[in-house]
Amino acid sequence: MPDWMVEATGLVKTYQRRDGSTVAAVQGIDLHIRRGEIFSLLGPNGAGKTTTIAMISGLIAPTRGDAKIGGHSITREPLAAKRLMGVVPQEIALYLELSARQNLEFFGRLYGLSGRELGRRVDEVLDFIDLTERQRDRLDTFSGGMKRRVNIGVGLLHRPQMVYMDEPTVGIDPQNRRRILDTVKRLRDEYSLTILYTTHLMEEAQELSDQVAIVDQGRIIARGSQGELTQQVGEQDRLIFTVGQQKVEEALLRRIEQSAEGVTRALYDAPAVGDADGAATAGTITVFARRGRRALPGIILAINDASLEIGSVEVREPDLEAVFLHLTGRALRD
Amino acid sequence: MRHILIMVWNGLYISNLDRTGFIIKFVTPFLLSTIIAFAFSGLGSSLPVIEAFPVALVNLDEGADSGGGPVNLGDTFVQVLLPAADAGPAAAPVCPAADAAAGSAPPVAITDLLTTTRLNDAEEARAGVRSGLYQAAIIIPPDFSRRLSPQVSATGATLAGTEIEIYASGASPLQGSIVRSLVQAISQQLVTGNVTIAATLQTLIDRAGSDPAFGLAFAAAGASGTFQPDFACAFVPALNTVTVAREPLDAVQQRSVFVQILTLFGAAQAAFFALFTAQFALLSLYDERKQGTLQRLLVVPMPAWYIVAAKLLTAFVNVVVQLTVLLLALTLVASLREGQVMFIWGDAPLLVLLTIMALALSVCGISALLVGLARTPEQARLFGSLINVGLGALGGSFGFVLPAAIAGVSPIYWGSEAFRQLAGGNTDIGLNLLVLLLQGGIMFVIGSWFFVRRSGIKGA
Repeated sequence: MPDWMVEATGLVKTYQRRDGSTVAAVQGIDLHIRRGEIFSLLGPNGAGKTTTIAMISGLIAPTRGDAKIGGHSITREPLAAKRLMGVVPQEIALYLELSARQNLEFFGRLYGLSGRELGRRVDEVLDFIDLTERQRDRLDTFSGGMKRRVNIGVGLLHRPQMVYMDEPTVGIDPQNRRRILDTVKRLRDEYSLTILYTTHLMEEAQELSDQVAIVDQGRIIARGSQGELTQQVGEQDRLIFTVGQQKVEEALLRRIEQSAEGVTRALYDAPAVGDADGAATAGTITVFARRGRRALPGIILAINDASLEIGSVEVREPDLEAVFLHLTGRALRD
Repeated sequence: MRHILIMVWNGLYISNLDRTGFIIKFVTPFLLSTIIAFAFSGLGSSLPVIEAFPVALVNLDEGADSGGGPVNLGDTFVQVLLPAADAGPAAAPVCPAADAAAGSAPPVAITDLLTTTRLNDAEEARAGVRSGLYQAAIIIPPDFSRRLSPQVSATGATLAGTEIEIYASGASPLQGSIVRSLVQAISQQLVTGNVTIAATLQTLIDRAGSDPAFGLAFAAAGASGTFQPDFACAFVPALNTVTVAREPLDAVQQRSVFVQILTLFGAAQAAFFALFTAQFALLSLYDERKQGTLQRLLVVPMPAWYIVAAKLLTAFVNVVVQLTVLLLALTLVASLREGQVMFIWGDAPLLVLLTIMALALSVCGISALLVGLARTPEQARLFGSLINVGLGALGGSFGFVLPAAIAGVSPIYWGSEAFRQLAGGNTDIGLNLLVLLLQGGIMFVIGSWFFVRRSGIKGA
């Protein structure tokens, strides 16, 4: 029998609206995470990742279901379960008026550390997150990336067996993002920590994860290793044509599916006025094809026949984005 | 418990890093009190103590028959408040014991404190106060003696209530307070005397009911006029209870105007700003939620209610520290101004500390209730400020004094009044402490319940 660090069964969370109706944020999630692995919950914003993680960590009570951390039920033995967990919330959950060291010392004391032991652990963590030089500076003088590193450091201070990280790279520059991803991998490789990681960025899930669960509308729609998941879309390439703001008829998509050998499916992703970051996105036609490059000319001809101009063409190997698109008909960024 | 103390310490540390909070907590009340004290005491000039301020006295009392002869308790008031020469002939019978007391003890020095002018028209007295001619008017109603005299019937003797009107100028709160204290003290003496008479008569009537022989003798004595009790001593001002009120007055009089005003305003300002401190301390829970630190605290292996308990305790300790620092700082200012080391809050530092703690409990209770009832932090801030200003106005923080029945709604009244009493050397602040503890305790319990509910912390 596998040595599970996290076992969540039938987690459901519903909220009551003011009009009395209920809305289900999570609709029955089962998770099994082995010790020492990085398990990613991948899904678009609002899919239910944070609610799932909040139930597993004891932050909110599940409407139904339960989760065990190291064998301890989070609903019946919350203190024992919480002792095994480190938490890295999505927000910079720190006191900005205090220095990095003061923040670490405060949370360290709450986890029962004191005296020399506390000092030693704080030093270790500061070294691990590479902030020893700035340890006495107030956090409100730190960059976003540095605050994120302290945020991670607090979660590691008491040497938990498992850490959950809720989108820890949100809103930071690529350099700091790289640093955080490397830190996460080091935690697994050097300290054998179990990590439950949520993200809406496919690249992060692909780079870090031993196991991935794809979450959409409060349910897990697929799970497994990356290889297992990409097999779900077969050996198909994705051909992505940007068409700007031009309108794409359903009939064109059907013509594309018949335009060349190996084409299995064509989807249209309409242009968005503004995404989560506020930038407008162009409309795209995504075509799944077994031998994408060979199918390319026929598809271009079909699009040209419809009098559409092609802005760019991209051919992608199978990845988690393709899996999500394949399963939901929507892009992750939606 | 360790977790709670760690969070309380952190909360105190962070709240004192906040410059705005520091200014509201310490600097503003300190500066306000000091500036007002300097302004009203003549900016450094050595003014005499408060004395001989003009007061109008109107005695409309028509007197009553006490059973042993006519009595006019209003005249007793006049005797106390006016120099003997101006008081006119005393209506009350002469009391030999009072004569003896007058021979051995100095007379009450109230006439040194007030320049009392006797008037016959209540409206004229009120107009005089409004025009600034008098700083207060004391108006004794026509039925004063009648209502205070025991009403004897076959079943016993009873007393009715009455009231003396103090018409004070809002521009002279200190003088108004002094007049009110004096009238209360004298009234207390009259009430005590009448209660004694009523109790005596009741005892006689009871005994007459249970002992037929005594009853017959008592009835015969009454019919023949041989029963002539002399209750005059109960109302003679020179005898006893007025001297109780003299002690704080004497202590007040020994201090300079600067110290008097500093204690008066300092206590009220400290209590007023304590309301804001408690409120901000509790509202920080919402800030923690917004900042995400609350979520982080909730996943620490400790019961969730520790977080709420720590917030409430932080607010309480914050207020205790604030009041203590302010009272000490004002003492320091007074010492510097007077050129001698002094503690302006009286001779009972433990009672001062107890008052601080009772007041802290009370303001934390109000704040917990307010924060708990508000739907959003913004609402709590808005209504909190309005309620605090309202309580400040009721409690005397803004320089005008309202009647105790109205002011008593505000803990500021009870707290600052207790500090003022202690500053004046009067340690009889049991009622103040009781009210503050009851007011605080009840509001703290109800407020905490609402606060926990509003905080959304499960298992708290």
